[in-house]
Amino acid sequence: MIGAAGFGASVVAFGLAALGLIAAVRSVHSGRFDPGLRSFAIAIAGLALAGNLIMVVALVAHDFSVAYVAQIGSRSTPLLYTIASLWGALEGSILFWSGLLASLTALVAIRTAARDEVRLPPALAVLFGLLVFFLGIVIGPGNPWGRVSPVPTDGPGPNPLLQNHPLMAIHPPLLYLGLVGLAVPFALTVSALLRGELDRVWLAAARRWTLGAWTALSAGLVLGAWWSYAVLGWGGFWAWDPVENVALLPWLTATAFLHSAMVQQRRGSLVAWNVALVVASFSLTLMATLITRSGILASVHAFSNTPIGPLFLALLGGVVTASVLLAAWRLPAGPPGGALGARGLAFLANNLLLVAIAATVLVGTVFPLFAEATTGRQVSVGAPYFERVIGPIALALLVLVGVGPSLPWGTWTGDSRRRLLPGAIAGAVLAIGDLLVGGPPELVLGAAIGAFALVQSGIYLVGLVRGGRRTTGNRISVASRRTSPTRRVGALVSHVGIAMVALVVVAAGTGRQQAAATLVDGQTLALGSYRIQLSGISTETRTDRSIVEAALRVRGPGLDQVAAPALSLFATSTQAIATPAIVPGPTTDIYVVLLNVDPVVGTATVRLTVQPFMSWLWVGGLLVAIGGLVSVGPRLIGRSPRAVAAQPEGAPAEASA
Amino acid sequence: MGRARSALRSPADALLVAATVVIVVASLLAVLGLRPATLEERARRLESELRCPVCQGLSIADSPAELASEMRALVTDQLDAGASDADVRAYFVERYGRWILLAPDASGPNLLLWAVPGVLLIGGAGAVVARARRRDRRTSTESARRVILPKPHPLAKLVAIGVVIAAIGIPLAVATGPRSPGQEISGGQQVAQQAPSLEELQARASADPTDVVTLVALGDALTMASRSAEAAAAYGSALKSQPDDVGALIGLASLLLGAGRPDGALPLVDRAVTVAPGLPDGYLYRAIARYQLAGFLTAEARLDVLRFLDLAPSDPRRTLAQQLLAKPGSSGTP
Repeated sequence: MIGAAGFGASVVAFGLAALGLIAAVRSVHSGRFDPGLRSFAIAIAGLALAGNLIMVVALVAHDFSVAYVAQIGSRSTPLLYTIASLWGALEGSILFWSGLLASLTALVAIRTAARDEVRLPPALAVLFGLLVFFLGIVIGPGNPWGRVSPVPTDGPGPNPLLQNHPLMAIHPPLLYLGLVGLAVPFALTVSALLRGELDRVWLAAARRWTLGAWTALSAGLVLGAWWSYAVLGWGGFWAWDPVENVALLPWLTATAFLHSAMVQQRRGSLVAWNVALVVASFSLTLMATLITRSGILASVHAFSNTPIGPLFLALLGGVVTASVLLAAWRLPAGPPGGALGARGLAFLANNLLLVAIAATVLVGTVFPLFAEATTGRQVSVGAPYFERVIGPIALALLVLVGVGPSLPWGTWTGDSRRRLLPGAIAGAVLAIGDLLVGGPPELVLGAAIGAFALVQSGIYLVGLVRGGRRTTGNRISVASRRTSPTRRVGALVSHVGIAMVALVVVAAGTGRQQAAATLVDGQTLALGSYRIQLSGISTETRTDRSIVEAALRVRGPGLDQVAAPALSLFATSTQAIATPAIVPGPTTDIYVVLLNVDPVVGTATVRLTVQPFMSWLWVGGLLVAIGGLVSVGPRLIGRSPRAVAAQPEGAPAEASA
Repeated sequence: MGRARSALRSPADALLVAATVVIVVASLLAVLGLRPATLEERARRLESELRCPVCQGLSIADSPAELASEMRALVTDQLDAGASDADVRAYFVERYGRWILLAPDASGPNLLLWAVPGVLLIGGAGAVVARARRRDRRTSTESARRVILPKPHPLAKLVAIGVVIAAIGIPLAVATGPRSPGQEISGGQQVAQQAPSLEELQARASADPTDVVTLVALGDALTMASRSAEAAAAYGSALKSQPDDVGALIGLASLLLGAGRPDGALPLVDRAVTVAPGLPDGYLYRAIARYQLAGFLTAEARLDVLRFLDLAPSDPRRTLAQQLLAKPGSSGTP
């Protein structure tokens, strides 16, 4: 019954999206805004959200007559993971995706200022078109609502890896929100191209929506890395796995856009480049979905098994070619831009480096596919490749993080150079220190540049907050006066976060210590100043798995506590899943993984890893996202756009953004 | 030049230059002053470059899998025995193929992988420098961006629409269109459903005796019809045109195993595993071949079975593999 209701909601939402698309196209042709479009957007959002809600109800009620529930539900799964399994498999995640897209479409329709309504129909046409696509998959090839008969009494439950950490309930929705959110700036850009208005209003709106999506994407990526660290038990946080890489790609191009948008705002330059970055970011989100959801990367052969992969490939092809042709046709030839000034050039260099990193990630991710298809041989591209190529580029980018905000839009003066001194001295001191303790070159250089970026970002941030309070303004470069202070505070908070992340990555890459041993009861494994002692092994058998847990006493400077890493063996898999035990600390994390247990002899094989400064990775990563929130927040909850529309025409458009 | 000298006159600038020099020199000293790497450091570096065959893209340094720890032990043993880093890499490449290296060497098509970032950076840097040298002509204002829309040529519009339709249609057509049967090595059942009839395949194979895809499909069909000799001939001619075709290697090996000739099958599956290390079939057949040759489940055969089980989570032959695991091993342990 409930499945029929959900299917009905999805079908009606699909129908309305199709009608809305027609109405939007007619409105584009007539050149007049049709207020009915708003109603369409709101109704579709309501129905799409209802569809998601119905699925959650079906999951919680364990209604196994619904195909998706029968596929992923289980009576023994805790409530949190039952709800989270809405996005745990292909069909549900596309349902969820369409719900997010419909909500954002309604938000665009509601929050566009009255005087900008003329820009709305083309943007809504794009968004309704995308909704037709996603809702079409929901009621067609990816239908989660199918009826199962006879109704099974229980289901298999979600993938075991996805139900042992609460982060699974937050990380995917944030990531999806970020990916889906990038559809909005794309739609606004198509609209601006069609109307030939790549102006301030377009730029402000595209920037604001990108910033919102970017914030969610940043948080999603950090939480994903955290999950990988806390759950997968291999000791790292980023494996350069294709699924991780494709989510990083749109983040990189969106970051580039957030910077290059400022060049257009100040100098009117880089219009075509900004259009390209918005289109690329959205296209990369489609590719991310294609790659993570079609199984295409596991093997070329997996491609044909799902009809959804080819559909996404078709959408991707259509979006990219249509955008390129539209841009070729509509981009203003315009006068060549004037001089960019020191800061403009720094933004340009930032874009070059970010795009180079994105290209490296993209090439490295798809190369194995390409190689297998052309030469028939399998090739691996993993962490050593990415670290070798991206490491130096990322260091150059960090130098810009430290230097960039001090630069004026004019020429580089001695005054702005003087502001770089504290960071440079901190970097030099750290470099000498690392050299004296015999650190490897990547630590000496990486820590120096990371410290430079961190100290400088902190100084700019403090200077801005103080200067803003005193409203003297002369401690901040002239450039800041035109940008709202909260936006700049947000940007600098993100910079501080990025510098912290970089420092931890350098420290983790060079200062990580590891030891493994097979211990009998009472025996101790020592590593540096840390010791772990086995104090017992316990086994617990459940219906679907058996869990072996080792109790270990962890001792070190100012530390004496018990850690209990576990191994779970599921009935359906031969590979045991290791759940690490982590003792976090401000300077080091103690990370213990149980590798093997011999219950007969009573031995446990454990791996002890001492990871420097890991806690700061999460602090830094979350600061990046918080910076985005600070930047976009006041505008999200701030004045209603209709009130802004009442402002006199001469008011700067940025103020309404 | 003059500007650079005057810049140094300011003490702050001099200090800034000095700090930069210190950082650069310290990094260079770290590179130059390094003592030769210890065996342990070399082992760790090598371990991070070798792929764990049963994990998803993890190196053997990171992987908690048992196979990875055995491979780590192999790396240490070889370094202890005096092998160079290149020797160790070559040892694993020989056994698993180039797939085992997480950073591919810069040769052949792999050159592309290493060249793309460099070319992009150099080209981009050139563009940035060119932009920096452009002198201030005018600072264009935003209002100038409001342009009069050019009217496109009607034909151009038509061509554009055609191109977009092609971009959408081609992936759809390719994906939904008829597939050649040899493309699906792993999905045996699907091949059986879609494959053209035996006669049709025979006709096609005799029309073009170098068409490897058809030959392998013919071999598969003949195997199913229990016409082993003809099947072996079909696989054999497929291998003549393409010695590395995995479908033919596996097909022929399974025939040889069925005929009680593990000695003939072993080199074939060895090659299949090297060419396609991600394909589970090769490991199962290699394990069977090794088991038949030795008369008991050797340690190597055991690893192969485990690898197969990890790579093929829903294969109907899992029961067979598990039965194989229950056979006695060399040391008498089950």
